Amino acid sequence: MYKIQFFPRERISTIKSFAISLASILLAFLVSGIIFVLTNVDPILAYYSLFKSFTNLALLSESVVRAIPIMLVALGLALAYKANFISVGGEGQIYVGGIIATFIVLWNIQNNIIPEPLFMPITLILVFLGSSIWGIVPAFLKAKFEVNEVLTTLMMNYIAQIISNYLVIGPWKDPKGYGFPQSQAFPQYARFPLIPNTTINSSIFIGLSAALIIYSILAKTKFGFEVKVVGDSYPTAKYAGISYTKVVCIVMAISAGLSGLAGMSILSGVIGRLRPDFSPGYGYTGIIVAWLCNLNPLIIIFGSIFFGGLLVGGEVLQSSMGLSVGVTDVFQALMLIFTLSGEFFKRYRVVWRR
Amino acid sequence: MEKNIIELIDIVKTFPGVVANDHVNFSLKAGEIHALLGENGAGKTTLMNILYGIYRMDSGKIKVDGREVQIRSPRDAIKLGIGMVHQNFKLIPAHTVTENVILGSEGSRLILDVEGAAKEIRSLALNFGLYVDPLAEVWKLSMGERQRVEILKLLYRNVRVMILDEPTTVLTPQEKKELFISLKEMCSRGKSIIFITHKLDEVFEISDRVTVLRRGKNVATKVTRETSKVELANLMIGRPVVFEYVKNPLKPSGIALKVENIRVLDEDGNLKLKDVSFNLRFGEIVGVAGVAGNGQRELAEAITGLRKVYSGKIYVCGKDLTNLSPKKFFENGVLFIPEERLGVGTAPNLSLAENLILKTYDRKPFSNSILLNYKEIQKFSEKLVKDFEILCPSVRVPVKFLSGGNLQKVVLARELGSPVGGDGHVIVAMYPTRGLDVGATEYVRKLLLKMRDEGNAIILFSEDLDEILSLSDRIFVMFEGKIVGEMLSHEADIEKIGLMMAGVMGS
Ligand SMILES: Nc1ncnc2c1ncn2[C@@H]1O[C@H](COP(=O)(O)OP(=O)(O)OP(=O)(O)O)[C@@H](O)[C@H]1O
Ligand SMILES: [Mg+2]
Repeated sequence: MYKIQFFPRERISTIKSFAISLASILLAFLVSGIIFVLTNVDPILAYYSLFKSFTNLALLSESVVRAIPIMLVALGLALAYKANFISVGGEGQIYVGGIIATFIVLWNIQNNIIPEPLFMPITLILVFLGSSIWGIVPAFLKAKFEVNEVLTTLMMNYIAQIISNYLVIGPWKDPKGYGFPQSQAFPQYARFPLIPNTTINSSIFIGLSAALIIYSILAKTKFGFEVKVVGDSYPTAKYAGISYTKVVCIVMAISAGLSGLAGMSILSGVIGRLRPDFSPGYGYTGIIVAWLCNLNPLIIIFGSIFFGGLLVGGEVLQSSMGLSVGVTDVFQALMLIFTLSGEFFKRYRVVWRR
Repeated sequence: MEKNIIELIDIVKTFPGVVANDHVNFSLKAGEIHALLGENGAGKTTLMNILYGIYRMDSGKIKVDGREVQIRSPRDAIKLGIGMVHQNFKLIPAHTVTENVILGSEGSRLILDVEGAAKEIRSLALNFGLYVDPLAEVWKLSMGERQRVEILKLLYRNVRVMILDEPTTVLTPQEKKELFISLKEMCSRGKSIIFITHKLDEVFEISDRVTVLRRGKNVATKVTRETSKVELANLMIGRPVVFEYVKNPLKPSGIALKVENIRVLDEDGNLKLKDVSFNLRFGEIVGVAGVAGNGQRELAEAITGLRKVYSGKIYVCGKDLTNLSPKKFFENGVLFIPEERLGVGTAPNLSLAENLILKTYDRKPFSNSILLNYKEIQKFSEKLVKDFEILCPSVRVPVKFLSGGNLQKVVLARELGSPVGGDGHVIVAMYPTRGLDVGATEYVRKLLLKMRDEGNAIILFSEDLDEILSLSDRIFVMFEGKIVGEMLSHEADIEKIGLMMAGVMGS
């Protein structure tokens, strides 16, 4: 009988590390291929449809649209993970961002106070700040009372989603909406303009600048340095006089703020009104993207587009082959499992023995 | 006693930028204690990590009982009867002694027989004089006790060769004596021991043979009885070392640190410091002697702001800093060399350069109000690396890859070489020469004396009474959370200090 054992690696070469990443992705394909076969789908055809998004310009532009919220969430999460704060709260923060944006829109439709050209900038700021406060809650609980952040952020996801759904079937339901559970449509001044000749809305620029900003924070600033120290060794941070509370609260404020913007980008950029369950799990996809991209903000840009493409591909698959969208979920989940295992193999080496 | 149970032949191991082992040969006979002697970074730990299966050698051969073997993991090593206690212990702090000992041992089944194991551990402990409570949680233990747990772990796995990496650095003189008795006991029961050290005294106290490593090469293997300290020092360093410090007359100038009736609690709410009061003046070194665990750590943490005091006051240069943050203490000139270098004194995965600016990253020229200036940081780190003779492939290497002694130099370099405000500093040094080789120890001691002469106030915690006697102007003895004795060092006598440390006598 063979026995497998794991021991920490002293060091890993870039090539090996890259090979392991590649192998994880290929394995995810292989296993999902098996699932395709088991559900009577031709895997080659399935992959062809899944990746069609990257060959066809219209689909590619659609993929980028999907990538925007994923990118914003993943960037925020990457920052939190760098501080060793394991937030899974992206999904809830998306809903909070959506709620705040909708509130301001509806309020302004009634009161007409914010001038149209200033509307988007002001709303962006308010959405960011409002979501930040939501994000600081679990950070504060962890810093002051050692409450586990995975539990708090996860529970808060349900709270936010339920509140959002309540609002749109209750007080914020469009009175002229024939009873559909949705808010009034956002007026033109509350929408992100499209980039000419594409379906991509201009919130992409928010995503790209966020990537640059997070990258620079980590690589160049004093605060980024504090984040790295806190994330690497809590006692060292304490010894160096770096305040854990301050660092995790700011990290989560930024992280949640970005996820809030992701929520707004879905409503103001794509849907144009508040709807129940308006995020198809972007908050969770963001977790996968953040880890898959090694918490590197610049790589996250491409990782998000890749996953956006998979989502679009999944829909193509659904319509062309009559498969459920669940297929992409399965594929995504396998990706996560295999990349996380890949991370493990980057840190440990395997010894086989008889 | 003649058979070689272990032979390392022509071992080569390189790391990026360093040849850590350069064709090293080493052999161990049954029943002997074999000292492995060498300076910081000589490659001692690396060689033993290869034997223990942690590192893989680039080339060379390992023979056990005359047969060539492949050791690819610590498990392989344990199976061959080889065990190692590392320089930095690898216990799980939240678990009990018993849990740590049985964790991962070959016989572990699904259902653990913790009680049975505890009993077995107790009897092992008794047999070898390694007393420690099997049910205590590890984080509450002193370093000396933790080491016993590490050794028990190996005895429990029934190893016959035990590698101890600088085992005495964390011990008090008393604990060291006890350890040596235990080691001799083990040898008489057929175990063989490889004893890594850079202290010449220890070589003569404990070993049968000694192998000397210098810069990755083995320069000699000698029968201990047939060699001398002078010869070994020469082999190890390549030049003679003299331990003679010129201590200038004491010129104290004003009170640097004033501690008034402080009481401090530990994590469980036990009183660890009971009404401690003292003054520390600029221009003097106060040595604190005491058996580890008598409140030294709590005292050091209290006067650096890392631990809140329950009552009492702490003044630095007349300023009341009681219960302010560590940062405030640092800004008022309090420098701290902590006991744990990796994980407290340094962040393991951050680079050498980043660790060197850990406390000054938010000052000019390393940063402006927002950005870090990596060019300045690099320049500064390279200078410190040169000034403090830190052996490293580059300032970008994560500090967890540095050898024990070099890691300590990183902490010293940061604390003593960083530009902080004011000229008079309060330096709180915990075991600053622990784990350092003779050359580096000499360097650190001279540095502390120089800092003293330049008008800094130094409080030195050490388990090495000779160090305390030769460096300090005044000596405090701590016992059970109190300063039970205070004396001028030229009036001090070792006997009396020893009795006070044991709580037999107060002044
Ligand atoms: N994992 C590693 N990666 C890179 N360099 C390493 C690694 N481990 C050790 N080194 C380097 O190899 C050399 C030998 O280190 P080693 O730890 O064996 O020294 P040592 O003799 O045990 O010293 P000390 O007395 O300070 O513990 C040092 O220059 C060290 O920086
Ligand atoms: Mg070593």
